Amino acid sequence: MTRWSVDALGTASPSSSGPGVVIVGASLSGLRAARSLREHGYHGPLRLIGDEADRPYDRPPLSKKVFSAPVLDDTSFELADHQAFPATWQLGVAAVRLDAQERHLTLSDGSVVDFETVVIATGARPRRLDTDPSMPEGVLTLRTRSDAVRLRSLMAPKRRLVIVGGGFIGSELASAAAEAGHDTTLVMRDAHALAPYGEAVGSLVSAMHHDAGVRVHSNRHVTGVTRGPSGTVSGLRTSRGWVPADVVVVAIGATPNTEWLAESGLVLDPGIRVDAQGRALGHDGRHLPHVLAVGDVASRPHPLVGDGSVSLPHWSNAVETGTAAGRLLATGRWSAASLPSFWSDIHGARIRSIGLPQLAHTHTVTERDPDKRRLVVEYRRGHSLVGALTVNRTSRLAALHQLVDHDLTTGQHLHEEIPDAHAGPTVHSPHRPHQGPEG
Amino acid sequence: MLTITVDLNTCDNHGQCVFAAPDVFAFNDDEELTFVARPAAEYRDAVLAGAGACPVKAITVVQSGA
Repeated sequence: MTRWSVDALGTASPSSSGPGVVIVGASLSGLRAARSLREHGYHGPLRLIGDEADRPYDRPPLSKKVFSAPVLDDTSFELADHQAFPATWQLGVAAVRLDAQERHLTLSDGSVVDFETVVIATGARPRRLDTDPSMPEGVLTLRTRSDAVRLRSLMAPKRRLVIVGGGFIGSELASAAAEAGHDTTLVMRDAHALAPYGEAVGSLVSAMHHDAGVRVHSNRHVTGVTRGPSGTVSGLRTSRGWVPADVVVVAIGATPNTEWLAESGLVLDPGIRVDAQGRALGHDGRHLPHVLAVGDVASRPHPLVGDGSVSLPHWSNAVETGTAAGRLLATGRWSAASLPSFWSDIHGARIRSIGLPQLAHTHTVTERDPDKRRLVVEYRRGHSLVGALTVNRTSRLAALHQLVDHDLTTGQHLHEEIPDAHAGPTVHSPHRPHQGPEG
Repeated sequence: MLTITVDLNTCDNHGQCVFAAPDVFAFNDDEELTFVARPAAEYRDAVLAGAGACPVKAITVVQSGA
């Protein structure tokens, strides 16, 4: 048996006798890559390395159920997938360096791990306030389960929660906090929540916030954090006055975890640039057949964006790219990208989206029912349908999904005349909305 | 043979199964999920993708026979 081989697609096929496949990042996407490898017949060595000490868990419930989960501890929301396949686990240790030529990783405990193929799934981390990157006591972000546990413990009765950022995480958290009866304020840069999705969606969500008792301070930049005598946060200075706070959650987007790859020779933009099959690109423009990247950390080509690349920090993207990487390594067959999609639940309303609405320069409300809080919005670039969003109307998305898919397959949207010169092909994701660092 | 069961109490209308296998899963006009319980073998990959994409794991697929 050869130690390793390259198939017709130029992808490294791991053998069963060498060090095999190492997956860096043991959350959703890395886990799905591992599971997919096994399901597609790979029987060789498989190692997962994760910097969080606990077993992998699902992140979407963190912002939605942080206050409503009956119990929230280091076993909550566990992903069952880890039981589905044999693998070696190394949790609580981070990769700090990749040597792509010599094929080894250096870990934070100083040890060195060899690999034949590495799948990078190190995800992203929340951005912090530019004005206060050191995060005084009482100021936190929400990405990990321990963040959620800490937030929950800080929110004693009568404490005032201030959330910075009107994107999905901020709005979900405001919804969860209001439902739990917490004094909740949302501070955002734009006129409405979910600003990139247009006025119809934003005004509906803002109205739901108002109805639920969330104080919404829109059109505000955060200019600094104020502290009380004990050093803990006492409020936020904003462009339109001071906002008192006992606890602050900063939800202004995320940054891919790629610093550890600075000397690896991979192209970072800042996500790991990969080709259509998820293989990392080197500075010479060629892909590295034995280095793949999946999930939030990858910046990948997509038919939606022509020659550009796109980062999609969504649950469904983590699943899709992880599964595709496992299949590619096990079988040599790759899977074509499907349409991006994501969801959010805010004040009991089901928000569902497909495509890339951020590519659009016009949007049309095709259905609106205030009583049932229903909304259907179509997003167009020129005449091409590039995305859709529904509120409490998922049934309408199936037909729109096929239409968007069709329009994108033709590539017509890439050639539309766009009046807005700023609308370029490299886009940012809904969870990394067009928000400045101030929220 | 493919047999699909869906826990409709768990289903939260994410729509991922409908996107992956639109000939098998659909929503009716009352926003309820409907599905073909025993789809033809040609839908196997799409159904498995749809089940794997369900964020709340509401879909169970049993494969039996040849």
